[in-house]
Amino acid sequence: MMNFLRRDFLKLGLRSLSAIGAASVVGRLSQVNALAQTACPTDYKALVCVFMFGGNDGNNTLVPVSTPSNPNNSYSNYATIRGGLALPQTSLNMIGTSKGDQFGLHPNLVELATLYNSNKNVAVVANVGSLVNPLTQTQYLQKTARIPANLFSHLDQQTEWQTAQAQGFANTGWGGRLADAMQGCNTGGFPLIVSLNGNVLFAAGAQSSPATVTAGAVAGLQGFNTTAPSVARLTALNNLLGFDNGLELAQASNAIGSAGIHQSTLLNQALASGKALTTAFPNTSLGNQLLQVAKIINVRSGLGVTRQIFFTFLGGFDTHDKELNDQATGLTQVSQAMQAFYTATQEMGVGQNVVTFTESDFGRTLQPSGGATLGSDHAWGSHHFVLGDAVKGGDLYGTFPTQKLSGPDDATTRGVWIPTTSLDQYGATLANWFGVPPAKLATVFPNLANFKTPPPAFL
Amino acid sequence: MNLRIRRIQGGLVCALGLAGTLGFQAPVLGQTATTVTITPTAAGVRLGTAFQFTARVTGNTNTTVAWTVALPAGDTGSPGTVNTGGLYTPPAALPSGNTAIVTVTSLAAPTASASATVTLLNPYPALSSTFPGSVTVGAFTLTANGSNFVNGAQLIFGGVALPTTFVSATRLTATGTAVQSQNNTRVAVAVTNPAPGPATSTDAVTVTVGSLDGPAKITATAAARFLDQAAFGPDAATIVHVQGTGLDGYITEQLSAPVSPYPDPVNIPVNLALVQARFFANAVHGQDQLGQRVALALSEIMVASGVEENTPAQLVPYLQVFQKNAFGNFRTLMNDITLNVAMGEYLDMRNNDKAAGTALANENYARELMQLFTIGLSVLNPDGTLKLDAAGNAIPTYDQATVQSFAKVYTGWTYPTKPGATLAKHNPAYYVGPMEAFDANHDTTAKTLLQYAAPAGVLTSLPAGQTAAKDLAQALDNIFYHPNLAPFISKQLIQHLVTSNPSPGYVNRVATVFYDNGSGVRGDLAMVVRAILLDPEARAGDNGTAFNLPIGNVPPGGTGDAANDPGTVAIGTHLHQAPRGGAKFSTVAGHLREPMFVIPAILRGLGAQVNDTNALNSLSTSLGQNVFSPPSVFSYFAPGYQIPADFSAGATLGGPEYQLQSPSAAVGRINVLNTMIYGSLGNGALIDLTALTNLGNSPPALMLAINNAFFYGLMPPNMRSDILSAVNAAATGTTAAAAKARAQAALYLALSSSYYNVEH
Repeated sequence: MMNFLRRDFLKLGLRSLSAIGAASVVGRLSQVNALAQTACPTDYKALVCVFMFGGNDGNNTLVPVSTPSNPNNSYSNYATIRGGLALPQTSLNMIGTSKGDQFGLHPNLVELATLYNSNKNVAVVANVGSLVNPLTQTQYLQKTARIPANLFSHLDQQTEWQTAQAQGFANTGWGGRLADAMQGCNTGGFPLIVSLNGNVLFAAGAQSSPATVTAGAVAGLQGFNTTAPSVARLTALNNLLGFDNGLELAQASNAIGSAGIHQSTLLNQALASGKALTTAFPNTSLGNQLLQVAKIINVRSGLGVTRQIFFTFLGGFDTHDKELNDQATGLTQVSQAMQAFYTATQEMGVGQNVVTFTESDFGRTLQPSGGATLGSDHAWGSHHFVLGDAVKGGDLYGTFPTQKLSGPDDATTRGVWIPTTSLDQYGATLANWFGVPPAKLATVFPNLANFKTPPPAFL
Repeated sequence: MNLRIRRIQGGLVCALGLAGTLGFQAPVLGQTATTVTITPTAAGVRLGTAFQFTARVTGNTNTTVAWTVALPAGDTGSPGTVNTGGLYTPPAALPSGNTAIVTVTSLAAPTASASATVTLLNPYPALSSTFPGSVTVGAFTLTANGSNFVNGAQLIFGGVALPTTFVSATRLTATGTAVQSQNNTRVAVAVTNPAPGPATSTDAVTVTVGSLDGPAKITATAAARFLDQAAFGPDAATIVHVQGTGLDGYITEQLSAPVSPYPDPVNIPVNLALVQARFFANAVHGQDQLGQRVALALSEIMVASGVEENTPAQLVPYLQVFQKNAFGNFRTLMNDITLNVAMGEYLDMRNNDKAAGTALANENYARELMQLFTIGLSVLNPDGTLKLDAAGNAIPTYDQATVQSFAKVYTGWTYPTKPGATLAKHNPAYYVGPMEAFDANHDTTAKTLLQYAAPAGVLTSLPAGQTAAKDLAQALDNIFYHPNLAPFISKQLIQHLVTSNPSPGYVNRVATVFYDNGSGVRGDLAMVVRAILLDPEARAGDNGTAFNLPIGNVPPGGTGDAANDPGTVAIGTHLHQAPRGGAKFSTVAGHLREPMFVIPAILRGLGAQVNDTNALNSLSTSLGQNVFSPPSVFSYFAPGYQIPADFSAGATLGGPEYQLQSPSAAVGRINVLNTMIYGSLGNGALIDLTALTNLGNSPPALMLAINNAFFYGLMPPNMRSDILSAVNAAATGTTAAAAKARAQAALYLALSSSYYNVEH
């Protein structure tokens, strides 16, 4: 059954490469039909992750100004602790919450602040981070409850945000496992996940793997035409991709090469018939990635997909120094690109069907670090954004930490926030909206059961 | 009595100073005039050798003298120096007249003086080694390593002076020809410095012509396979060479190979293009193949990226740290990379202030040096596997407090002081030399280091009050002696050079050498590299049986050997039966060629020419690897990266380089082959397909040549027949164009195959 299905996918996908017989491609394009017995949704939904690599400083992303719900926090308290790293109060983009608090978004998050205040389709989720289970300060300091593995290490914390396996090593990501659970509802043979960041762990499933694309034109196999020598060479190329020489690493290389040819063929076929988008995107790294995402969403019916997950990224957030300059650069790009993408979803009529959310390695210490130009060090919980017309926006979800060094929320002495909302809870809200079968949620977020409080209700 | 008084007077003079002129301006009445003599009055002195003159003062109670040295009038250059005791040190280079005048003058009677004439001679040259250490009969190029070479020096090979180029005081290059009568013998070599004072080295250095052990020590298959690990891929000449030296001999020879230079950052444009281009030129043509491989592996472990350190002034000294230390000691490497300015900028150690006001010391370098460069996050067994606690969990090597403590160690360092400037707390940006300590900005509180059973003399905490330099030295020792270092670094070097999935036993054998090179020295990288390359697990796979002539040696239109000729019954049978002989070749062995290594490997195999201003980095960038510019401190790929389950039949399969090999990148890699074979490499690099095109009308010979050049002669027969069918269909007729089309089709398919791209 599976083989039959796969073969159908291949026939569809490789029609343009006439020299390739369907059976000749042996890449494991395993689109496991996990939902074969379940009714597949007929609507379209997409999740778009914007990962800020390096650890975005949440303390300068969301600044408490006047917070009756926690009188310990205030702008002056923030400014005192942050010293030369404090943002001027007058530069902040003010937002309010349903609890009557006033916060300021970073001065360069102009577009997200407008969407939050006017369109009410941006939610902010406070102090999200990697956790295995709920963790109090006492439990953390006395090590009486499970603590995430390798806190404060970029690679490990990026990994935990992507795998939702805070106890340590995992070789699948939560996006990939969500794709495993939903893949069967896509019919075109095109993977459910599309990564703009190559082999990112977020997108690796147990039975599925992402399509990978970069911004700009999708490169297919080059240098072939319909002449007999070319056809013979393409046939040989495919035969070699099916060649088993007993070397596992070479087999993997064959599978990846086959998948790449297959994906680029499907994508270029679909994109060739797509209607051009008129929304203007900023010509930035993230802007161009989200433009590519929009183009792919735009040809969703041609690709035969009803559920899609995208992974986009931006680096440069490891602001050990020059933070005031570098974070402003990064957040400008995030804010402008996310707004343009949102506008494009409206243009495509899928504003209600697409949710964009942010992730990052970790937050940064509230206390600055020394050096000629100030920065901050690796910390833990941080604040994140969710955008889309389905989002119950214009509000802050979760609990904002008390900004006090060695205070009740500090894991160290430098303002390192112990998260009060786990990544698993944050992700579960997204996955539930996406339509993950309830029985599958625990495979996507195995640690979710450890958290008794319900996931934040921003969707 | 009289004598005693004189001595006392003399002593007083010395002590008072002034009294010299006062008391002895005129000789004491009744005594003879002051005279000074110098011995000898003429001397021949060789550069690099000091010479002692003596002086005698008579006729005066004050015998103190002043020594000076000068050139004869009209001469130019440096005369050298002479100290207060008459010890003459010659200059570094000969002055124009090869002469210096040493003069001694009485302090008491400045009109009394004497001079000696020094005839300066070239130094005695010392020859330590040649590269290569062996040559074959016919023309050769030798590099001589040693000291005291001067311009005009000649290399003497078997009594024959060779045309020689002076490179530096420690290096000459020469060309010559070994004759048949020298075959399979050791030929004495020496260096002669020219006049003045011509002299010949007396060191017992020989060059082996041919092989002393008769014919080839190893098969061409073994040599070619080895050169994918120890070099940037095999080429016809080096295969033959390694067959003569053997693997161990090749490694020994490589230890003294001349280092391929990067461009001098002073005189080139401010972007990295020429530095990146030089990577490819050096990889294809450089003699220091193994040194380059090791340096690059280390630079991909200890990352400062050209993305931020984006000028040659910043990046070249960083790259030179690895060139200098590739075969040195890891502890020296730790010191040099810690104080490298580019690294200081990249990970914020330069201008890292001690805690002041609201700010604490920066943790960036403290964390990454331990996590990524030296010991890793979790306690390891000597075989590289995780040590687990009773509950089966990994054990952290350090905690956040340790990181903060090390952050304090790294405070107080700033840019090197520009010539003419004064050291300040924050020196202005300057990239010549290591960072310098400004101790007033160093955190002098006590510090807790890594806690483990450290050997005697290695501290696990630092007392308060130490200087930045002392804290640094002791803290780096604390890391260097941590038991994790050996398996952590050994395994990654194995992964870079040989295989993604070494067995724990392999890691353990190499780590054992890292702990102790056999002479009690820890961290000897030359011995570690030797252990990696000569390990049985690296060598499993060498004993494929069929290997024939490299490209160019197959006669045009020839059919190669019968064993590989499809017209015979013997087609590939021994390959098919035993491609790996009896060796225990693991099915998870080998590793994906790094994208930036694919290009030089292909160019070497094809005998391509690459100059220093090539544009090959654009090809590498399109393969996902912009040379010297990894996206972050985590390098291009993580050592623990595992291939997605969907592509590894669900198995857990390690493959660091696969982190770059996404589906779209795999298509990109095939497309780069299309560019290389059917398109152009851009300026500065040229593939000459003539040798293969000459075989293009004989597809079996063509396939044989490609098999030998790129597959160690071990291309599986069914792969060969798949390619052959496309080659046969590539063109009709025997025109040059048809022959070339067949050669191109064969190369494209062979080199885009996974069997080639996974080096094994």
